[in-house]
Amino acid sequence: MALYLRLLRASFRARLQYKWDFLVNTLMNGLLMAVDFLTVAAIVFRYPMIGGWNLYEIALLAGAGGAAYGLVRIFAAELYNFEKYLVTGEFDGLLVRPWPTLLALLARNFDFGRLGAALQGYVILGIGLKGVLAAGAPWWILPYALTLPLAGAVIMSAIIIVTDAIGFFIIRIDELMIFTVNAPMTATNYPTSIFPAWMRRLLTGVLPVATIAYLPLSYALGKASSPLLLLVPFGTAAVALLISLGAWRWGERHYQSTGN
Amino acid sequence: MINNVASALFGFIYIALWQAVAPASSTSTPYTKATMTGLIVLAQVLAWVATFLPAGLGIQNMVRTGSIALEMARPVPFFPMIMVREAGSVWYQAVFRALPLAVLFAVTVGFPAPASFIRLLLTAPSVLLGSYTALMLVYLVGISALWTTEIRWAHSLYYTCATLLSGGWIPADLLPGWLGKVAPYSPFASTLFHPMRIYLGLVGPWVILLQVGWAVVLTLVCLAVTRKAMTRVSIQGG
Repeated sequence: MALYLRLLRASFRARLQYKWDFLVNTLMNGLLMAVDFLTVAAIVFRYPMIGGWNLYEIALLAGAGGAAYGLVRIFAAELYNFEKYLVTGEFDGLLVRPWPTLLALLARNFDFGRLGAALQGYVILGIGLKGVLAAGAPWWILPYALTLPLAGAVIMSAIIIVTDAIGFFIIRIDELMIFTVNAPMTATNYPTSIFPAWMRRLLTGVLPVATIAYLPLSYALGKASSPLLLLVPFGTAAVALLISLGAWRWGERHYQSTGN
Repeated sequence: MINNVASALFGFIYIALWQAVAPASSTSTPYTKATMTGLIVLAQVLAWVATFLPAGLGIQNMVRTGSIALEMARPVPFFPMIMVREAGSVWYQAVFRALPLAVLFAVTVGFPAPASFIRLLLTAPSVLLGSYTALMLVYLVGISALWTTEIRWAHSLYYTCATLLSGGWIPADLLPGWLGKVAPYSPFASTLFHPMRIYLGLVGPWVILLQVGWAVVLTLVCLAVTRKAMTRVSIQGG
């Protein structure tokens, strides 16, 4: 852990060596992610409610999901870009290191250029919180909602790790990543209740992004009755992480280098 | 194949969204549930020939490796050469990405029928103009590498504008305030929004003239920028 933190600090300092590049990159990444929400906002501007959720409530969904995605792209950058390790055979180099390969991958690169995406998510989350608190939501939603991106980042990382593990068999996973990560991420911007039943099952049980914000916030905003929903993101994060670690170990055992 | 399924999933997400908000029928807006399903299906399919283009058409890589000097020295003008090369790539995407996706939508949510046979015929030049316009916009992003070396930011800016203004997720004229008034006349709307509306009969054929206008303007801009670029090629590396 100490080594991981040292590498984290070194990576951040390295990014800051090119201050202008860092600032513009952060800004552009934030802008790009904000457009996703602008699209949602433009729709809500025309039609005040989406599936019974107003703009501020939807901002909570989009903000929590966006911040979680931003955190993943910063701290699990190489997990997301894992295909290149399989295609070039670069993964061989990680196998001979005295670290677990997953940890070695995590410590290899921290993409602080994605800071803008995470910050943008938290800004939208903040706007949503301000709106729902003014409308009478319980006070505890403030600290609670701020933890959702953390659980969400673990859930998304787990989905990415399972996708990577599949890569040990099929090698090319960039396109699969769009299906398992990017498309579900788009769905987190909206209340899951508007989707057809098969998609609700997919987003709750298979690629469980609906558990990041939709399910717990349904209770917090008075749209569902079971307080147990508040525990769902953290329970899902724990289970998903365990499953993903198992999948990774299983895939790694079947890894056959592309040769170099 | 996986790409097609992912594209379809994006489509299903937006179809569900519009099903949740759009009116079943209306006299005040053309964007009803049925129309929006058609628009989203068309947007997903046409995006493969007008949105999902390689960043900068790879020109930034030529600048980085220095091969841009060789490419520009060929006895073929640079701009038409890149356009023709990418036209082949777009054709591949049309056959192997857009077509299977259209079939996938046809058997799931249904593929929208054209407003009339004439509209179907008019859609062909509109799609070609849309694809050509998109290629030129991406070309301008790519050739900016001759001044900036890399195009990450320019590409992000382009992608941001294309996502918001091309009408692929939200009809350009439904955007709030002044943006909704300006967006339908932007070159981004030429890439997706107009071909879709031509096909569904939501706009008069005059809009093809607007597409031609943007195609001409952007061609002139691309030629001028390319001429300027020829005078300042700088090679990276040795």
